[in-house]
Amino acid sequence: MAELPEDQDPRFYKPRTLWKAFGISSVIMLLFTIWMVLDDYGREWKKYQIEFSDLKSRKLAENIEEAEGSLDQEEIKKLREEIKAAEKAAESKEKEIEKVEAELVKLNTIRKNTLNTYQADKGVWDVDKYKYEAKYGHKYAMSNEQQLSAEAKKALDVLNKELARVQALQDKANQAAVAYENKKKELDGFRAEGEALKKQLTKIRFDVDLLAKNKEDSEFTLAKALRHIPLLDFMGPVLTVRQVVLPKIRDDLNFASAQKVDRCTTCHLAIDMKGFENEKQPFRTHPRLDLILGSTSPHPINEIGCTSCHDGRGQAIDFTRAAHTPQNEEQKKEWEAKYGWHEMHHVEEKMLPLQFTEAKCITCHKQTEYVPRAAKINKGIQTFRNASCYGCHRVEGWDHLRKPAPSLEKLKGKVTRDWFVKWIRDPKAFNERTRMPQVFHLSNMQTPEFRSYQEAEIFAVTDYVYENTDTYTPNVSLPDGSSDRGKQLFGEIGCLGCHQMDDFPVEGRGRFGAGPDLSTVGSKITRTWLNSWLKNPKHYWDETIMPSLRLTNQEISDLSSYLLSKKNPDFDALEVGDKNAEVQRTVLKQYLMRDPKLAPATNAKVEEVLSKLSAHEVSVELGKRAIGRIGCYGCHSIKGFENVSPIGTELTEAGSKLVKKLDFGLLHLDHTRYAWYDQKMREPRIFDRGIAKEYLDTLRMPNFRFNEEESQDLVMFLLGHTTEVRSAEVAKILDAHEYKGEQAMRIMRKYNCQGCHTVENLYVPMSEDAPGYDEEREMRRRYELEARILAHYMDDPTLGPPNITNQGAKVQTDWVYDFLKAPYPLRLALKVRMPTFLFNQDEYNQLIEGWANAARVSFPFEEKKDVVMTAHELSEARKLFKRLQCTNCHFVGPNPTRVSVEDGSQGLAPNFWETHKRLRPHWVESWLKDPNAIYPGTRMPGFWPEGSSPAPDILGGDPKKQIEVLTKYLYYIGQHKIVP
Amino acid sequence: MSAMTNIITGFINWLCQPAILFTISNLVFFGVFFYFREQFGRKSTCVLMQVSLLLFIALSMLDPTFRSVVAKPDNVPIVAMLFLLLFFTWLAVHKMVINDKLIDAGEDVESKKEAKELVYTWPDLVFSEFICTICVWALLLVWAIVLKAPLEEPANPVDTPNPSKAPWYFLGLQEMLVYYDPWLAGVVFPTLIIVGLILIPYIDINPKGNGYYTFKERKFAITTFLFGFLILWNLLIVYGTFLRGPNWNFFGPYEVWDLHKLEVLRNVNLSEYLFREFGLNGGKLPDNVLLREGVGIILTLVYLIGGPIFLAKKWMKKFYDEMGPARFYILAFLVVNMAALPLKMVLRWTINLKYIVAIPEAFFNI
Repeated sequence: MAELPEDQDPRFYKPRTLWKAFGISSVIMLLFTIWMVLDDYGREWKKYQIEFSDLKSRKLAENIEEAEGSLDQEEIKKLREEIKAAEKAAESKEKEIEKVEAELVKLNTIRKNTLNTYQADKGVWDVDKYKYEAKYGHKYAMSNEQQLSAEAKKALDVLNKELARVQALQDKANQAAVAYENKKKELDGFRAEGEALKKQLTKIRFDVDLLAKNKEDSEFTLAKALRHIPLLDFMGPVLTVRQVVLPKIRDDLNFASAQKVDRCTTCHLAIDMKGFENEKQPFRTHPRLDLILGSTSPHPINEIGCTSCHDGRGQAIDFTRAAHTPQNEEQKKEWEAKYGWHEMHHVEEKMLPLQFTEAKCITCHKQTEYVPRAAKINKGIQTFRNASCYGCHRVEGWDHLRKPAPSLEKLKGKVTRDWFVKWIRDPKAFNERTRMPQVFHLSNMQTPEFRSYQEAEIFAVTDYVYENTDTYTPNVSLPDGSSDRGKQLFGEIGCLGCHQMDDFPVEGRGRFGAGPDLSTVGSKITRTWLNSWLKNPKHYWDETIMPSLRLTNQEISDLSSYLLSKKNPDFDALEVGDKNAEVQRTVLKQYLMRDPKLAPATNAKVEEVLSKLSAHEVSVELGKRAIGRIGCYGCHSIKGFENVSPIGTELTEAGSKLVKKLDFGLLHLDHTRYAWYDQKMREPRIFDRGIAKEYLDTLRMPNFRFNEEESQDLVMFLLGHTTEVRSAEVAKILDAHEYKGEQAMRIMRKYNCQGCHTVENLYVPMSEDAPGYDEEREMRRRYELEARILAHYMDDPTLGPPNITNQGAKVQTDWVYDFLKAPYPLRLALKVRMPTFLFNQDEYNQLIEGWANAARVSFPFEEKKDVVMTAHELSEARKLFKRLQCTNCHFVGPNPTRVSVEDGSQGLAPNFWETHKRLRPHWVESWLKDPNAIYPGTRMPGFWPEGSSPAPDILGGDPKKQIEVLTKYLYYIGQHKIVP
Repeated sequence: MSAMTNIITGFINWLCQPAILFTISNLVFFGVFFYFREQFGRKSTCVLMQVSLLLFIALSMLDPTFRSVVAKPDNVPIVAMLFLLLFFTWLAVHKMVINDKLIDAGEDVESKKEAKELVYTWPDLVFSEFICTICVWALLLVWAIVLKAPLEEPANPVDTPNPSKAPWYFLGLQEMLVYYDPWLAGVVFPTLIIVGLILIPYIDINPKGNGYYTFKERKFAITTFLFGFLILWNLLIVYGTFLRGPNWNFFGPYEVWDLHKLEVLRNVNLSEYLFREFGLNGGKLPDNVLLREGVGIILTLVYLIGGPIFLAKKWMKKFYDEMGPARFYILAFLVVNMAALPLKMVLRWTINLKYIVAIPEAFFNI
């Protein structure tokens, strides 16, 4: 269109203006497009990948240098010179080589041509063969004819003739090939020496060259940079999102599920590579690669990925959007500054803060109570068990345990009413290490009104319990004994495996044990009850795990005197107080107003019910309702509450509980599960603060006074209990042996075997090089988890109860059954006693069968045969036995009395006459071979360190033979009752 | 200082309550269009309004609650919408005022330059539309880069968002749900809105105002449309976006969105008023539904049928004469329905009226 001058143009939009607008908007568009490309181009993961390729090259360069250093440079130099010399030598024969090469060219031409001819004709023959088969073959195959038709026969003849011709061609081609190869060998002969040397060099430098190749691949070269140019990088991108696809683990998407896809490795590039342990994030290697992520570990990265343990959004490739969660305030601030981090509000499954990651172990390890090598979560599980949380809160997998606290059904016979009132009012006043939590007068009960209600309930609960207990008559009554002897006994015979006592303190000991702390028990119980209890615990309470220690009456007297001297004068001095019948009536009225049986309740109706009750009946009725509300029966057996379910919320899915379903009350806490759970442990009633509530609506969880460590343990435990389901392909599923082993383990835990023995190696040793390593503290940490009593034997743990891990491999089935039924001293010098546990018959069987299964040994019986030894073997064995001075510690002969060996050291090790019926021969052999590998720290010396022999003159100094003969001998002397 | 801020924020929170803000908005709307067009149409007013809005938002950003709501990526465009609405409304009024003056002076505005601007489809229109395309595209790019898509997790039936909000353009409808039963607010009214918009060209026979802005020649059309658009649609969107928090409770702009906030909900049906409060039938609700809801049904019918007839005979007689009965009754029906929303709002705020006709037995409530 012809342009008119602007002033004459009648149009409203002047072309020039439009062109200008177009120009400007296009420039803006261009700028914004560039911005968009740069924004995409500069995403953080791309930067990390470039940075990492530098880092990796540097690391490889270091490795190359190191590898280079470990090579014998002299040898390489020599080899190189020799190669050079050989090559020179070959050059001198140049003329001959040239001649051979020329012939080789000719031969090669012939080879190729003959081969060509053969292949072409073979192709034609293949087609002919097909044609023959198509024409005659099918018909013949489907007919009943015995012979081919004449026509077909003729065609077949032609075909076969043709085949002969083709085969002749093939032969010719092969001949040419052979001629060529022979000539080539002739040529190679000139260079053979040089090539062989080169191969040798390559072999020597293999590792270094491989590293160099690796380095070349990982370097961010110019060619790679070109492929990284914006808008071209779609063709062959160097920087790519990396992901692990996990078909066996599925993400729950509420209405569907999808296989887990983790892209964490897009930035965490060295997570499963050794050698980046000290780099900064995101390039650091995962700790404990042998256990997690390593390709040979039980949890390889391509099977478990990342978010199955860490949580968070595996598909995100942005620091914030991956829902990283800081460990603490400090880190939060750091991240905010460094990454512009903020919380992902809409994401429910944020990453677990690092301190809680081990919680996720139990998502897959559901069938065992403890997880091998997971120290933190095991501590969490142990705290959950020890604090008896399962009394009130159901958690799947913990249903098999009985009520954790003593039965109150015969309480009258054990403690006085006054003691009981003071005790439930403030258990910690009686003993601050008690497991019983504070139930009354907690933080939400501090108004004068509520305090008086609480007092009313304390007396009411007491009245109810005492109204509902059977009488108990102690079965023995003994005179006073010696308190000093009692104290000595208490420290020696093993009471400390389950109980704590202030006279035998252990630094840093947690407060939870299998039995109560006895430091103030004198203020609680009566002599006759105690006598009877020590004589036979089951007489008072048939579900108790307290064993019999086979005490004599004198010992019982002494122990009783000692225990009764352990009083708490402050507690004794506390006022019992009086009950206020009026307040009790007021509180009971509140309960009745809500009683469904009276609904809809009116004042008059309730008053009528109340008017029919005496003051005592009001108290007992109130007690019943208070117990029902507070939930005492979750832990204690109380009459009238046999079939009532406990009051606590089920916690099986606590780790997946929606944060918005947790009542934060009016507190300003971080809205996370762990912050809420932590707060709940530390001060369970705090969520009532500031809220106007009726008395009966207040929170009910008692205060256990958990310290920070215990609270974190429990939070860890709870976080692990998620709704996530792991298929049998990835979850830890016990096989038949493991299952039986776990059953045995449960029995041992029930009876607190781990109070005295190391049972299952729950303790994961800290590396001695780790910062802040302190041997003594480590020992204490170990004895918190297992063999607690050994904390009293720190000077010489071998004087304490023995390690019984892998017991099935060691002992014979029938012996161990007899021993458990009626234990007797095996190492006479040890003062600590193996108690007589009153297992039921099923428990004996499961325990012993479980041990055998866990150790994968035959059960129930091993083959038994009489040991036969030749005269030579016998004499050699005797020599060896003397040389090794076995009898320095071991006793041989009929079981002596305790006294006779007390001075000598022979009581430190078992009697050899026992061996043949007690131990499994295989175990004895491996024990002789390396005792320290079986029970680290044992007193038994290893006589054959690293295959060397202590007696080179016996049996030709062959350790294997020596051990074999010695084992035989040990069984021999037992069977034949020989004292060497 | 903080006491002062508390007073101011408290006052603004109070001011934003539905009944008060709605009343004020109506006063302002009708005030501007009937009395203060000229003052509103001044350029200085435009600058003043935009600057005050900007200042208001900027200062309010100091308040963490306000900031968290307004700066949410979902809500940022709605803030921009406020400025645009204000500007375009002002622009229309500004031009109206000028043209109305010319009309008063007896000039033929229709044949003036503005109405006769020459724009060819090709190249002028297509070209300028292309330029607009580029500009919008550029804007979308920046928007996408700066405000990342506020994506959430896969829907979880046990973890629903609170408040659950419709997309921003439907928040007006969602707000209607406060006052009307879902079948009305969610089905009938939206249908009527669409039908009504389609019908405008057929109902509006006023030939004036073609290609130029004027108020005097199109008083009814402009006020009715803008009342619907600005007050009943956009104001409710702003409400739904910024002032409705958890449990769809009202929250002032500076009020923390407290999940536990409770408001008295004691709405009473008309039938309950009649039989319970006034004691008809001895205080007992009749079992017969028609008997029970009779008054409400009659009132509704009177409103829907009698309303248009009344308008035809009295207030809008002139329109009736000009448009003829068919056109007029369609218009009047739409107008009556449109007025039903503010009417119900007022009834709710004043006498806690829940439903005029309440027949939950048949899921029929008005």
